Amino acid sequence: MRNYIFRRLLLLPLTVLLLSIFVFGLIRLVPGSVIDARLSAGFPGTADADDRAKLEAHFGLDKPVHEQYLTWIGQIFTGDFGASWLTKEEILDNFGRRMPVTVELLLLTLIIYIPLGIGTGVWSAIRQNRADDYGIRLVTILFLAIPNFWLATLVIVIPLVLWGYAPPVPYVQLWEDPGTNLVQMIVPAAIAALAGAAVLGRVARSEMLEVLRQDYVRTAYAKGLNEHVVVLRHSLRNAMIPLITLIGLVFANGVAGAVIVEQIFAIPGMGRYLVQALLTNDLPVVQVWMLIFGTSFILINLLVDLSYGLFDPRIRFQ
Amino acid sequence: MSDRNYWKRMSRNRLSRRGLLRASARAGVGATGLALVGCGDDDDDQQGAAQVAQTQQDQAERQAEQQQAQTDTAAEQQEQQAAAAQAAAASGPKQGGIVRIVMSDGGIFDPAIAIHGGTYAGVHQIYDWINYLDEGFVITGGMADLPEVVDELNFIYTIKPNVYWHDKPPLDGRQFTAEDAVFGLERFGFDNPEFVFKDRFSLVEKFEAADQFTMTVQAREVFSPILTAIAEDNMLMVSRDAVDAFGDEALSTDFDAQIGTGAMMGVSREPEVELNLARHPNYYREGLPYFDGYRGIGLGDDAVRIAAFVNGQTDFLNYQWFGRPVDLDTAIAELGEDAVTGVPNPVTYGMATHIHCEVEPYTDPRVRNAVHLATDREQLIALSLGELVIGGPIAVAIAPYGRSEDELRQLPGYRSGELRQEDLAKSRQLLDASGVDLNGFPPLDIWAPDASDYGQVLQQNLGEVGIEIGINELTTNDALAARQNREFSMIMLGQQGASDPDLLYNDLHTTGGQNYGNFSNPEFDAMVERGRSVFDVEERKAIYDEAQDRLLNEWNPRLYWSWSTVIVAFRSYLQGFRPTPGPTASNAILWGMWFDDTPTGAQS
Repeated sequence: MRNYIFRRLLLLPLTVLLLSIFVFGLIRLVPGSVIDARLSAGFPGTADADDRAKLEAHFGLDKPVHEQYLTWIGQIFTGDFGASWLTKEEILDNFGRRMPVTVELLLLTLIIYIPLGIGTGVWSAIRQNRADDYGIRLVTILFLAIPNFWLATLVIVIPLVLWGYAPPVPYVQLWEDPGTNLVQMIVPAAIAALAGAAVLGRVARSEMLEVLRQDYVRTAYAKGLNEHVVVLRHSLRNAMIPLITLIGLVFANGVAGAVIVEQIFAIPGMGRYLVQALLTNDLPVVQVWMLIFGTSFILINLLVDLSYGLFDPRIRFQ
Repeated sequence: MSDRNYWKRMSRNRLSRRGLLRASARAGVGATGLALVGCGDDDDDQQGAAQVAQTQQDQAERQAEQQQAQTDTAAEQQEQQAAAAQAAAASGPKQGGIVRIVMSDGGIFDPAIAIHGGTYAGVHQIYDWINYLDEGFVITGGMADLPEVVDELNFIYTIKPNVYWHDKPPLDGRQFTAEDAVFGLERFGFDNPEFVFKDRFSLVEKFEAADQFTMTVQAREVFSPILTAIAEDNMLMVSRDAVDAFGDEALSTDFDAQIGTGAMMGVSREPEVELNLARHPNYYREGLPYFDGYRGIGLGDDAVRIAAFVNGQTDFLNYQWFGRPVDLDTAIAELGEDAVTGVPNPVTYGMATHIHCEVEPYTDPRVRNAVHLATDREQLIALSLGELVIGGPIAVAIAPYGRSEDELRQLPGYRSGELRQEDLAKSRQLLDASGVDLNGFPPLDIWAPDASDYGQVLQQNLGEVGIEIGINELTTNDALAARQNREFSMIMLGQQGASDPDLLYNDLHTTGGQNYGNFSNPEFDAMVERGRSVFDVEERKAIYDEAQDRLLNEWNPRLYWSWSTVIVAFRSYLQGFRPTPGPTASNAILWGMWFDDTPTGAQS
């Protein structure tokens, strides 16, 4: 197992390097640039080729792309993640401020997502073809179909119209006022969790149905074991492998969800930072954001792979 | 039950003109209150005012009066008067309270960069202007009186002796001098690639401090918009001391480096979350500001913004570009007409369609004119739900040069009903005469999704005269790039505004910086060159009237159809609001406002 982890970690720098090339190149394929945006902003300025050249030099865009890449990646490897073109703030400083916000959102999302997804899936499976199974399946399909940005708008508008309630603003840090912070964060987290929980619930149901039909489950029931022991200890554990993979993917879904809910609910996290950077062509921020997110995703996938062994002792890492 | 039905109300409520007038009256009364207590605009400034500015002001007022007379019905006037009388009975200005405003924090503070309009909501409280543009784009005294016009090339500004910087190092509350004014203005032209207003004063030979409180401005050539340029909303004064102490970069992004002469001083900022400002005790407008402080609240989605306002967490529904009539309707539906005040704020940006005059088939003016005549402005504007008004080459807000909707509706291309059928027939004749292949038009580029609907309407309009045109949807970045690089044939995009009709020079003169469609016409060039060399408003108006006529009837280098309208909405317990015009709607003059009835949460 140690060798396996070592080999996977050894592949990490190479993967990150490929990712960095991909990110760097992809961002530059997007038409439009910070130069065009800046030159358009100065009305009634009369920007000319000289202004363009100066701005390009200012942002280092006057050099060949490969040279820009090498400069950037070289700085990354020396720990210099650069600064935002827009605000000049060091990107890592900004991440340091925003990361806890998004991590909190993701944790809250997970806290809602996992029990809700697995719980509804398991319950639906053991109550197959009964009214509650149909009800759960209907609701999960509903949440799969509803876009979360629309759900978020409804969640704001309906309480306002019915009870005059609106979420408290502005955003408050967890350590400043935990109560207000939780009130602000729980709804966005729930919205980010719902669609993912619906998927998890449906997968959990089908996995559980398959396991529940196994001979050893029938034997467990025949032995007179309590249903919760049969379901939770013997069945669920065996259904967990695909679910763990799916839960690992929630990180990606969660970050994607965070991009939307942070923007809607004005939560100053990583997702909002990305949106702003994209809207303002703040390439250094977008590049570093994608790189850090990609690296985190790779590491989480590694953890997910390693966790298989916990649920199925037959799995050995070679 | 129906009153509790949100969706029904949403569909029923449209911008209520009567409600708006009533609200405008409340704001007007607020301004009257300011004048009565002698704290509004500086009366002293008017003494010895420059002839140029005074003439502009008179003209603007006359124009505004004419427009008002044309549009108001007797019943509406009565209602307005009644509302004004009612509001006048309310108490006068009061000191105290912290105003809570929706903030869009771009994180850039330097007025010379300020590419993020949202930043102005805070910056406009910290910094101040030499002169500024008040309602009707009238140049008004700020830290200096209105300039004395020596001749057409030389102007003298007298700085008020009671203007002080905020009491923070390195300025430590020292007096604002002519040297500061010179530096503040010259800095916009410094050779910093990020400074976006470098050419604003390209025709200024020099700014000079004659003595401690006298600044002279010498133009290189006659340039009539010069006084407006100095008073535009971006022209906020930063100090040499702060630049020397902190550097350009910190001045751009470090909130603690923001030291101005404005009504409010910076206290704290949490990026995108909160911005706190406190009253400047030595503000030169004595007794002002009335508010003890300012709290900018970072909000995201429209739904959260509206919910926070309705729920009483903010005092302003919007301040900058969020001023959509539909939002005001929603707030009124929830809170009632008396609880919310909405005031139109003049802005000079809008949507336009740029035509590339060097790309076939638009090289032929007849084709451009045919497109102009075929366009149904009423249909386009209807899509905006009140966000846009029908517009011509110069925004109606720039009085007396801009043309009102009513004036434009009499012109070919803007007409409806039977007259539109005549325009369509003329359009077909022009297309026939030009011999253009109606199926060979290059696609119309559209800024998506903002202009998607408008693009489809235009496509349909052109179809009415037989033009088959495809649509090419572009993202904001793509659209900006296409426009900037002149890589389009016809593109539907926003058009930026200005505070002076000289915008036509920048837009369409052969050498104009924003002449994206490469329009070049010696007659037009001569007109706008003359326009910027004439100070007399009547004469200027005649020049720009002719230019607009010929642009619309002959040359059609752009398809003009709209300008924006911004409704600033706030709780009615706020008084003294004064609409402040600008190209970006990012102006935010709050020093004359006060709480008539300080709400919970807004107390100091």
